[in-house]
Amino acid sequence: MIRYFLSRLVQMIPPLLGLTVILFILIRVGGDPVAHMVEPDATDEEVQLVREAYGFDRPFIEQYFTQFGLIIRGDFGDSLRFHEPAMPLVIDRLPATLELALASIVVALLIAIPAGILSAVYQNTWIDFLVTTASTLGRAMPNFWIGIMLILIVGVQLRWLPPSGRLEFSSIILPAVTLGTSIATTLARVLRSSLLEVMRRDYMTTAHAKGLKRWTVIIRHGLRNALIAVVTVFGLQMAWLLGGSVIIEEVFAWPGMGRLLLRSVLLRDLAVVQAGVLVFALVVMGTNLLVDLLYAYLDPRIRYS
Amino acid sequence: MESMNRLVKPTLIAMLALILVMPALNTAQAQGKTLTIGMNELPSLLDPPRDWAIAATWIHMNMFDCLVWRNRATAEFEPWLAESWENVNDTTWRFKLREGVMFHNGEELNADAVKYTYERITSASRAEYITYGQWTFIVEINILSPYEVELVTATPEPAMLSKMAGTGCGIQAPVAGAGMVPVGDGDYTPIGTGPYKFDSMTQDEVVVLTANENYWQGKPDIDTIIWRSIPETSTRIANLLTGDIDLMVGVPPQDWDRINANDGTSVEDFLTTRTMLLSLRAGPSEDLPDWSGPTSDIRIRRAISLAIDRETLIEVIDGLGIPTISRITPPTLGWDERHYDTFGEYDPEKAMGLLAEAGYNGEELTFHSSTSWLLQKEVSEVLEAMLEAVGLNVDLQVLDVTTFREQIYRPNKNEEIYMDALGNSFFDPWITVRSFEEGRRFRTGWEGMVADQAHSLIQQAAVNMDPASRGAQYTEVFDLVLEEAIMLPLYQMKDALGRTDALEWDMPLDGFLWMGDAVLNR
Repeated sequence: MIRYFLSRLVQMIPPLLGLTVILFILIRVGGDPVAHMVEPDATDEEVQLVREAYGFDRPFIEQYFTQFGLIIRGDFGDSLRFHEPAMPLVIDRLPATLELALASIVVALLIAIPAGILSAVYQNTWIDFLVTTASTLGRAMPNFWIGIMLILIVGVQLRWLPPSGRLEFSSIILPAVTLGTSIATTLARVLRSSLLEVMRRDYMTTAHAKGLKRWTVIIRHGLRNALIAVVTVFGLQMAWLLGGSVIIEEVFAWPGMGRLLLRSVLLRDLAVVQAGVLVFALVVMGTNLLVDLLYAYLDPRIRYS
Repeated sequence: MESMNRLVKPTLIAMLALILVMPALNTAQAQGKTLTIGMNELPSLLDPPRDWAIAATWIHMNMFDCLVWRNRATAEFEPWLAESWENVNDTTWRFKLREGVMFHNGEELNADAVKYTYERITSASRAEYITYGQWTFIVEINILSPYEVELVTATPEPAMLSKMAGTGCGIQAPVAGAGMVPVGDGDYTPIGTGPYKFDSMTQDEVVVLTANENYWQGKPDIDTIIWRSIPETSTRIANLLTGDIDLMVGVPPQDWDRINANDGTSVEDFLTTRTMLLSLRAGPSEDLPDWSGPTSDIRIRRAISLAIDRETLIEVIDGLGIPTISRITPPTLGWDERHYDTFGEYDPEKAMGLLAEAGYNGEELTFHSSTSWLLQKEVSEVLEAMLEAVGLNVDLQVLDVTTFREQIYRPNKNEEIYMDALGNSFFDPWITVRSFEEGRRFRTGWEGMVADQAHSLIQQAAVNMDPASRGAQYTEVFDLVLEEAIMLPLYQMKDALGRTDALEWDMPLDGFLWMGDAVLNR
């Protein structure tokens, strides 16, 4: 298990290095940070002075390897915007984003698991129809729109929750529900089909024949086996969740990494973008690793060596 | 398996605990009367000469005072940290400082502070301070006495007082500043003499200022100002309606009724210093050396000017603007009633005649615009229709702000027409004509006798210490610009403020949120 774990960690390195190249090309070659650092009527000579001061006048390949050399040493360079080291800026925002991600996961599971089970157990009834329709609708609606609607209805009309920010505990509910419901729609559908398949298995019939109560069989024997598919999808959804947080953090003024990344991309703040995207990538890869390890927990037949 | 069980349960519990605890840790502790201002962005840096974004200027000016003040209603110069000044000769200015003014850290304001403030910029570089170019006119700073300082300029500087009251002018505490090594990096702490003291900042989230109990004009009525970053306009409006914020700028017209109908909030519009305009390329420039588009013909540029119906444009923007054909708007020196609050000449027939005379044959005109400003996209589309109505073949390209700035504006790759809005919070005309100076015409490629004449006038005005004749020179520059149809100002923009009715405060002429005199009735 430990060997497997370590080998998976080593496998993360090449994609992360590739990511630094892609980010550099997209941010530095695709845009000019100096455009945001000088006055509108600055002459070419004045612009050149700023370009030289930051090393943007050097060949792209040299700029990349300079940046890469810093990254290897754990130094992502200074943010052009904040004039501070980039990685601590990103790390500062990480708790807010993880907090939102975790809350969204809780919301997603609270919705998806009961909905998926009920939909499978009462297949082809009005409950199943309701869950399937709600899942389809939830998937079809852009989550930023759901967010704005929640702000207007729950925040402004009903005044039950604060419309934005991260100033009190209840602030997290609306963004978490917005992000969580989107994932819940997928998870509920996967759980439904997975559970339907499991419920046709012989061991389920045996469990019923032993005289176990219906819901005990479904929860103890059915759900656990059906969850493998859900966990797989959940791992894939993590990337979507972090990507979605960029927009949701902007809509709800949630001060996480998503907002930092969005503004940094717009202002070509490469150091922050690289640090932020690498942290995002690590979180996604780490989640996928965790998902693989969870397989062994959910299905004792799975062993890693 | 058991080991996995032991891991999973504590992990889930820790996740839930984190969710519950983290927001509570972040709760802002506000004391007394608190005003919360919703901002679409917060400053990246709190050092006035290093960040000149509007949001930064608003916050800086509440923490820092300048030597000179512009009256908020008339824009006239008034004594501030300098209680008087004297223009000894064309290049020498003496400022007598107000005594007994204390910085937030207890240091006393004196001539050392003034010298320190300006020398740290002029001895640095453009890469370190974005406002560097604004201060290079100061070549010498002499301390005459503890409360008297002399600033010497390289050439006569008629815009001296404007600059001393403008962006980045805040006087900094010298002893504290010297201890921040290197000054201006992430360890910088803003220490000024302004009505509010810096309390805390969470980047991109919130800046908290507290009242300066020892403010030289008396303690402000509001105890705490919280500047909250809420980038999405609809979310900011929702926060205003629920009372989570008390003030916001940039309320779109479609939301006015909702805010006015809400109990305790209202909307008021105000005039900004910003002018929406079209700029036309007249010739190639270093960054676009092979350009030879239709607007190189003055008749086609004039036809464009004649095709614009400003009255319709004002309707498109719901009346949120005053039509103008000059960038110099009142009360800025050089504004002219011939140019202001006028729709200008609109004559499509004459425009078509000029196009025929120029032998225009349907060549494409590229029109770059962006989504930077309120209703800019809609106005661009209406302008495209107006130009096409007289027979011009226009290719309108509306870009997002970043693309426009990086691909078109900054590298000077604009072709026949581009649209932008430019401000003038200095209330001095020098900044409005800068792009017509020789060496700065990279976006217009304007050359020839008239361009040289405009340049000459700008050079004369730049050192002309007589306000009356200097104003006339700038007016004449815009006459030449209009004659050659190089820049076509459209309207001076208005904006709208959403506010709690508990706030007693008037938006000043410059549109800047200085809250030193604000009263909160709650």
